Amino acid sequence: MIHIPASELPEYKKHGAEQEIQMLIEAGFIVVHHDLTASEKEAARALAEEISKSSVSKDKEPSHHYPEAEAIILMARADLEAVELLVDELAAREVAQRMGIAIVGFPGILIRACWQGLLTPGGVRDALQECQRQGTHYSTRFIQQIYEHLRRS
Amino acid sequence: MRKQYAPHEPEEAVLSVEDAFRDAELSAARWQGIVREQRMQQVLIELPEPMYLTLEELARRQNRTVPRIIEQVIAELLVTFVPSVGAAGG
Repeated sequence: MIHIPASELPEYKKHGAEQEIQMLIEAGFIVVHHDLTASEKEAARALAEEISKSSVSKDKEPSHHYPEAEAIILMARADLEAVELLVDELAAREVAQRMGIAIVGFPGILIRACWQGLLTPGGVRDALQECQRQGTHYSTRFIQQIYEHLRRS
Repeated sequence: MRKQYAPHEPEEAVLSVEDAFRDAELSAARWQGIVREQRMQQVLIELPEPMYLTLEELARRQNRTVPRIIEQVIAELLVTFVPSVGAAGG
């Protein structure tokens, strides 16, 4: 089960994954949370500010980090029993790690899928290239290095 | 024609190759731990209720998990009752 804050939805839309996300929501794999309390929203705003001020953040606009901040806040809900936070951006990862939250990036998920035989190294490369085409900041060198590493191992 | 999408945060850096593989290793270990714990719970669910609660209380007092205690008990039983295991472990 994957839990996401509603504020993440426009981001998926920007990355062209709106249809796939909708299918996963309908299939019950993704739960969208529209129910953040006022205090959780306030905490998320403070976190977004913290992320924007991180030394590794190049985007100093707090509102751009709000979806990641809300996801971090959801991790604190014990009833969700969330295991790890899916996050790629360095600044948000740094803040989450400082809070003791277990994190994993999307490439890490794909690498695990490859180790489990669910994806081939070429499949991992294709998925990362698709993300790159749709606006995620994976460099061509990054994708190639992951592919080569998986192919050799 | 394939549609092109703009990055959400145009300047934001993402993780490195090393980060990606470290993520995968830590995540795999995390999920293995969860699966192992779930299996233990499935076994423990067969225990009569007071015994399970006693184990939970013991784990809480020792700041450990129930599966960790069970693992230790089983390991000690093996060392006690199977001499060859004790010798191999020593």
